[in-house]
Amino acid sequence: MRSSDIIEDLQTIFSDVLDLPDLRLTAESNASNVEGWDSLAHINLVVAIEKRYKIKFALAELRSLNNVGEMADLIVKKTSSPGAQ
Amino acid sequence: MRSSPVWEGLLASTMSLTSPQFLAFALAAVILLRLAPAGALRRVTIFGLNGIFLFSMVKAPVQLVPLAGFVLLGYGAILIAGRAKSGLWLGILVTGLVGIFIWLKRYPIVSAFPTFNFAFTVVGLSYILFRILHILIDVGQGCLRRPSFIAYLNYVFFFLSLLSGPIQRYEDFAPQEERRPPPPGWEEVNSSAKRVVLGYLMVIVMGSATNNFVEMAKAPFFDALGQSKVVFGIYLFALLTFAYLLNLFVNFAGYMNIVIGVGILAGIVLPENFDHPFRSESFLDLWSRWHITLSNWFKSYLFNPLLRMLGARWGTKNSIPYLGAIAFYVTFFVMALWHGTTSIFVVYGLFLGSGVTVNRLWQILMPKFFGKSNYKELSSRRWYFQLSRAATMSYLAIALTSFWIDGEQAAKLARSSGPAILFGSFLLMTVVGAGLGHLWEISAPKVRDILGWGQGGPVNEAKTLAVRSGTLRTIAIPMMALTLASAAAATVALFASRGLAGSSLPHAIVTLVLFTVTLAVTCVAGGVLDPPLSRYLSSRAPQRQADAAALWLGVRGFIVVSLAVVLNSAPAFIYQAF
Repeated sequence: MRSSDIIEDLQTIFSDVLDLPDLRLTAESNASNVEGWDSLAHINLVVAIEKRYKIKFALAELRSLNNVGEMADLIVKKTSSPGAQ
Repeated sequence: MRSSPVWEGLLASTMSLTSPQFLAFALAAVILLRLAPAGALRRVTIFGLNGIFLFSMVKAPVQLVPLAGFVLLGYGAILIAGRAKSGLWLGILVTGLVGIFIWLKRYPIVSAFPTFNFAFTVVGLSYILFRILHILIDVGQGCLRRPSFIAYLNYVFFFLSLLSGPIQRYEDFAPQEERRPPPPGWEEVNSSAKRVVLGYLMVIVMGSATNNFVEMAKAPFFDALGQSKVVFGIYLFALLTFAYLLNLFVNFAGYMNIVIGVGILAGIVLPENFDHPFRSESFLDLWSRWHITLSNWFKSYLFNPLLRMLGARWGTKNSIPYLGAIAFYVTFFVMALWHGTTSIFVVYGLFLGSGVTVNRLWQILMPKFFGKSNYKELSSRRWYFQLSRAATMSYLAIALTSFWIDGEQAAKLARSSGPAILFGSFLLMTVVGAGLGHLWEISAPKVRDILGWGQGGPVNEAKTLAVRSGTLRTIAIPMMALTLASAAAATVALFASRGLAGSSLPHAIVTLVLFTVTLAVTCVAGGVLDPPLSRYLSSRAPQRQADAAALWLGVRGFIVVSLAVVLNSAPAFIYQAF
């Protein structure tokens, strides 16, 4: 799975969770340039992402998901390594 | 009475902030930490500094045994978690450590289990718990490499953040513990020296004034409460709780200024704990401005996992916002319980939890009733901000009653006219606060203009030309304004704190003069006169200006801190002499 495929998936999740049907996500999208992505929405997004990819983020990883690109990279890492938490 | 970790830290230390020992220790620490090269020598230096500071807190080394034991157990837990890498083991270890913490701090629920039969100290334990748990959880989840034992000890017992935080993450501390910082620029020395002086000004001068006021206002308030004088009670309670809020703020944020300022002078950057909390827009916003490292810790290690669990089980598009409100309540309730072991902190928990939940529900329901764009428009209005901010700070002031009230007084407050007074004070403070906030917003630009605050960029050309024609005027006017303001503040503070009560006229004049000079001197050292000073220097000798300014500003920090300490203890000598 490539980062760019994941970003497309994330766009669906984001626009659903944040209620923004016209959202266009890029790797640089982050909390300051996406409307409604506050710390509460952040955890909602995390829940949706974990359900979708059947992965679990460590608590410290939640802190470092600063933009969509980083999120996608982390998802790639967790879905490709065996025994991902 | 004051059982919160903030007070434990500030009052318990035998090497108190204003003692010559602490100033000497801080100076030595700054020099050593700047010089110690990377490697074993640096590690040992930090270990030694931590050790001296820790041992200065106790009368006998045996008093440290339980604390040391807890820290050792913590490392053991980290070793196990690192090997086991299982969620179950991690849960057991975290629960175990928290349980031992509750037992050592003697929370009422475990009062049946006896502790040691000698006096022992738990200084810094409340903050040490967070540092250990953070490493334990991150190592257990595979996000952090287990630190070596000495690195762990240096982090857990770091003297600057031992007593009251800030709670720094291990990843941010470790590189600073290992490597020597780059040599500082004058700007760095200047601003951190200013910061230390500001911290002392806050703790010594503002702290004592507000503390005296609080102590003075308690008796009349409980009298009025006892006689059911509701209106007078509302007025007194508003003054009392707001004075306590200010007292807590200047003591805590002042101490943070000292600690962070000394840290930067030593080349170690600590995270901020305060960000203009009196500008908070809402109760939720407040917690990103007040005790920031604490709410960040709780967000990472309680709120996030709790909401994630709730969301995974019961989360739907509609339920998620309300699940968030529940997670907020639980998180803030637990956070409140951490502040103190007596049962009044349960009340604090109810206050905090209700505050964030109501705030969150307001944010969810208002857009639903009025429409998203209408709500957005409403919340951008200035009067909305003023009311919201005043309500937030008033609510906090009332919630903080739990910090200074004892059981008997609380019982009195819960009966008869107590609730009416609570609610009335809240309304009074909100309305008056909003009004004062509005007045400040109107007058602040003019004040800034006179003193030259906030003019960070190049000095206005026209102003410089005007200044050249009266160079002394540039400093003289702000100097006079500062002295007058200090005299006015000194008079108000001394009357409010009855510092002049029963004193003879010469005595009163000397005290007033001393207090004015202390305020003015610490303000100067704190950089109030910096803008006019820079304007003066730039008009006299533009080429040498930077050097001259830097030298003056860099040197003043430690000299004037000592001066402020001396001037502050002088009144005590005067009282004895007269």
